[in-house]
Amino acid sequence: MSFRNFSPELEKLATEWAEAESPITTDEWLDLGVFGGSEAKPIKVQRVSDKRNGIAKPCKLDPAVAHAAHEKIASDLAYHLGLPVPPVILWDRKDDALPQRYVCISAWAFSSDLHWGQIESQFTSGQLAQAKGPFSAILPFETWIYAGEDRKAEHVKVHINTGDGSLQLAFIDYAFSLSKYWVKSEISPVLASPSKFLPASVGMDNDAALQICDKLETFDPGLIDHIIGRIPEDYLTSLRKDTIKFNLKDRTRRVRAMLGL
Amino acid sequence: MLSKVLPIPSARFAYSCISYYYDLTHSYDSVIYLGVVGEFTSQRKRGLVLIARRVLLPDDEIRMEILGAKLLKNPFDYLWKESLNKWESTSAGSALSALSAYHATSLCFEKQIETPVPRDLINSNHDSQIAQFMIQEVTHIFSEKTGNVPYTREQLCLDRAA
Repeated sequence: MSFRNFSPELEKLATEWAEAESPITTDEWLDLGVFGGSEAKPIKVQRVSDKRNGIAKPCKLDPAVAHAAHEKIASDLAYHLGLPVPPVILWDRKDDALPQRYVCISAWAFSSDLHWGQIESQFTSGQLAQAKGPFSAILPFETWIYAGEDRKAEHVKVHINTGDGSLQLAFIDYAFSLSKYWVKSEISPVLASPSKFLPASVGMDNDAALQICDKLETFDPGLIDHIIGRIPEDYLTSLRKDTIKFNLKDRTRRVRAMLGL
Repeated sequence: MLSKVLPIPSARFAYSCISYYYDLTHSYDSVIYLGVVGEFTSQRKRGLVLIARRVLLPDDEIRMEILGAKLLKNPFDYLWKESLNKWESTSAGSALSALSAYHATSLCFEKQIETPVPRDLINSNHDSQIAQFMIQEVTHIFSEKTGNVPYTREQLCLDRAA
């Protein structure tokens, strides 16, 4: 079962980006300047061929963190697990003079993009019930990739499908995960269960979480090697790649216990 | 001989335009301007001001889709509550940054911009003068952005600097 409830247009893009030979975009993108007033200073971008918008995120805010690579890996893994993380592609801006040359582009999941914290109090009980599955399913995933950043309402985008009226969710911002915390290939009990975000108004759906645990336990190690291995060295060093591969493979069978399921 | 160095009094006024982007996937120009929020800080006073639309026009409700229109049914009420909440829970001069961090996509508090504070307000204790300045500034900026949008409201609060 997939927990993704994206538009056909976005799913098409997700397939294109997850299964492309190269994780780096070969399309031409226009830089439209900084978006909004946040300190992260994301950049508005537009694909020239079809005028599709995206948001480019710098990867060298903290040189010790492979921001863009982490976003791309998380998006690709989520795609293969059927989890609602929007598509991401790497973008080499090919200009060393830029403060952030190696960035990633994340597609906007929805035309009108609000986050859980802004809108939670407005949801009906039916909509909250629809959110239970995706929220519970994302927990094993975020534990697996060690999304150690303080996950919160701002990381969950919400939308109502204009066709069937169903609630759509998108989980974003995985720059602070994976090798941000895994400095070497060791498993420490302290790292076993990072902070989790599950709104009290939604509650836990054990079946949804267990579905993802089952998928993780049979996740193809070759696919992990492929997704990590194809990231260019400019975005992720070989040492970090090895660490991520080791930990992801090792943790597939540990996540269930980490979550007490 | 060492002499005592006294800091030169200073004051800061910054504002942030509040926008709603309703077609992020295809157009960054599809924007509804909702209001302007400003923050004043001096050694004596700190203040918050907001001018915003009281209602949405029917066309805007359609553009914003269901959730946006529901959230911003009364834009002023929601934006004042949010702005005041951040202003009260952050240190002087930090409210706009906190608002921009929290409302960073469709509902967007844009990059803050500073405007000069008149010299006579820098060390002033006169609430009415400071209030007049703040309201004039945000009203001017909002009308520059939108022309004369009807159904707006402004509100302000001023406090002693900590």
